[in-house]
Amino acid sequence: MAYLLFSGTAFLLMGIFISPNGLDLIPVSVLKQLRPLVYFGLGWVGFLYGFQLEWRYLRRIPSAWYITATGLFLLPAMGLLAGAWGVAVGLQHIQLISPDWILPLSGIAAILLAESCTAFVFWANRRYRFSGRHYRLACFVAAIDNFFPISCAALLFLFFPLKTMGLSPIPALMVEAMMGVAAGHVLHYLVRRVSDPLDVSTILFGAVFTLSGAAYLFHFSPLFVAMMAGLTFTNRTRRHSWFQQRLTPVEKPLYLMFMIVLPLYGFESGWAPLAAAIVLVTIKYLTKRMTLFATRRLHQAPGDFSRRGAFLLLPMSGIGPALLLEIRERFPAEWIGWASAILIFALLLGDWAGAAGVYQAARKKAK
Amino acid sequence: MIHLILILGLTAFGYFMRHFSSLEISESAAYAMGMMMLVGYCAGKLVQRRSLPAVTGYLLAGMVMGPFVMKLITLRHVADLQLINGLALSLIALTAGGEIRLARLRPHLKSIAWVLLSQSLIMVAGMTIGFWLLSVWGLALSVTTQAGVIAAGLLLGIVSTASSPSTTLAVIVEYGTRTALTDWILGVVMLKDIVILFLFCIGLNVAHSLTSSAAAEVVGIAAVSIQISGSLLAGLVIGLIIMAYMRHAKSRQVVFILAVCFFAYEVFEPLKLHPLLIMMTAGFLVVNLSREGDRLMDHLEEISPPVYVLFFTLAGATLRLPLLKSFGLVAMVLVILRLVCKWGGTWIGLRVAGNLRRMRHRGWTAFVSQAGLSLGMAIIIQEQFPGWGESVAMLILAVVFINQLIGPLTLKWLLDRDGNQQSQESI
Repeated sequence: MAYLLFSGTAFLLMGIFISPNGLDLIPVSVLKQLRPLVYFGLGWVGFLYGFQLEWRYLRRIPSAWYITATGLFLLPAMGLLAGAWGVAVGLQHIQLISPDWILPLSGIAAILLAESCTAFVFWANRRYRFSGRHYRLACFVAAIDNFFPISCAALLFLFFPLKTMGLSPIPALMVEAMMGVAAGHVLHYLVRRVSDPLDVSTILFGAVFTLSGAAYLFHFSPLFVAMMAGLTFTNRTRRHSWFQQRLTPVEKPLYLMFMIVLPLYGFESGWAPLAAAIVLVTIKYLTKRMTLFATRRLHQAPGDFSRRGAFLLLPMSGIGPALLLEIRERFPAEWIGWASAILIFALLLGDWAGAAGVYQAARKKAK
Repeated sequence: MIHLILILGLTAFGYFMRHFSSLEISESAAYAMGMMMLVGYCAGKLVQRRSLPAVTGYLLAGMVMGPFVMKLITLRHVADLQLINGLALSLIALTAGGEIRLARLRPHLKSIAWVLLSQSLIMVAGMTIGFWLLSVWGLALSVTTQAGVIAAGLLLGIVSTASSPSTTLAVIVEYGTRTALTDWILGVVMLKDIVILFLFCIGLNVAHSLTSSAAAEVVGIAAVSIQISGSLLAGLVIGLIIMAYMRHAKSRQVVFILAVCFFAYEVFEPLKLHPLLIMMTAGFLVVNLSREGDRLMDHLEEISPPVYVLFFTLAGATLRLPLLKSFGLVAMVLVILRLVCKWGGTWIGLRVAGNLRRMRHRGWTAFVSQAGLSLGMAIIIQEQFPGWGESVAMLILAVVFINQLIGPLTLKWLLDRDGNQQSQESI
């Protein structure tokens, strides 16, 4: 059961079970009211992600690992973009999707499916007692690669017409980043002398809510803005570990919330998205494996880690559902149902294939 | 000073957001929530320095930011945040139920029963007579017939009996210490809600028969009994589920509690059950029937501050300040009358019960605040009596407005006074 229902998978299945595609237990009115919670979740996840990017820690990591991590996102993303494009063209030929959906669907698939799940890598390493430099690299890659989809989302949002400011995308991106940086500084100032954890949580919750909501109003990405705030805050505060102890426990429940909420909005069911997800997960596995093989000299560890590494990095984290929910709020287009379906199937397949692959690898190692 | 600067800064930011050309702040409830939490928190800290309860600060912050004053929070925000409001209410009710320890409450059962009985009787009689006198002086709004005046006065009396469990609990939690007095206050306030539901149902029937209006379906006592017993049963089930989870699963207990509160409100509210009663029962059972009670209360304490700030700031935003313009004088008279009736009811109840002697003259100050249940009853009156129901409902809202602002102050005064007296006695 542990393999079939690895943490997020169970919550995703629960979401499917109560979604309109399942028993349809959640009324539309409740879904509407869930929006503030989703926005809080987006802001908080972004803030916590940024909070982990502490320069004092990051600078100790060899630059070769950064190159590997970048490659492990960009090459699979390109592979997925090409694969998703091909699949979308095929689906359009049999008139399942409209021609206008090909570009957004392939782009979204490439951004959302290329990243990896940190929790899964830690879980597998702990469960099978994997240790060594390769596994530390896998942990690092899985943790750092969320940066790419969050940044891609920030860019994506800028194509939404910025009526409020009349800015073109690049200056708008600067404003978006500066908003987060300014918020991080203000937050640091606010909690600088507050030592009561309950007061700190009230201030942080309030600040993240405000920031996330304000980002939405300015047509910015709440995830990106909050990430910039977290990044600034973590590098300003002197109580990094104190905050980490108190903030991190909130992160996992939020990812689980995204897993449940994503299917609740409904998704395209049927064989086509499932087939697309199978193709894309296979492409992801192959491209991760190829990239790991190609960068093996940069790992600074002996042996070929590509097969085990590709399985370890195959499952996707909750950032995918979070981003898709964010995109759904901003671009409520018809193709979102397809994107949700592909992501949901890919999440399930990725989790199961990853768990099975790692299990096989562990057995082999034991023999 | 820092809190004042922050409030000013946040208000300026809110103003900027509101007036910034095409930004439609109503679209983002998350933004409103954040603003309410930050400004509410700062206002709470600010008033605490003046030895006032933080709840007053939250309410004032909500009122000033709300749709009737500065409009930084809009009516749409208030509507969009109903789910969060429900979640907060469930959490507060769970905490309130958990605060009642049977062992500590047992010595006070007699006084609780007597105070409930005498407060209800005196309030109903006093407010009916008071409203009749107001009609004689020509201040009874749009109620024209004698029967209508008596019906309205009766309903007003029943609604005025109610106190707000959430406000009471928030002030007690802030105060920190649990004493015999806090147990007694919580016991009275919680049980009063059940009594009032029955009384209100009887009052509606009487009012309908007096005014012979067939405008709406009259709520039967049997239906109310089913609602209350259903709520108690649902509370029992939820209590058992929480106990089972906390006994067997050691991780994610906070998430589980939040999920239960969320679903309890969303599932049982449409079924016309009372989420407040359900969660109070659940909290009461977990604390009194299992070993998990202390852990539950610890978890609730961990998540309560942001919940209180948000809930009461939102409650402040819903207080309709313009009503005071229209109903200010009558509302003030009724508030004073209500206070007198509260004093009389508490005095007689405690005198008959023969205990808590020192509370006879000042115990009433614990029961001044008024909120959710009263507002719900006002809406029912408005719906069921199309002729004069609306003006009476507005009058109730104006009275609730004033009571909700002075209630936390009087309760804090009582707790401070009792604390001082006890420390002097121990010296």
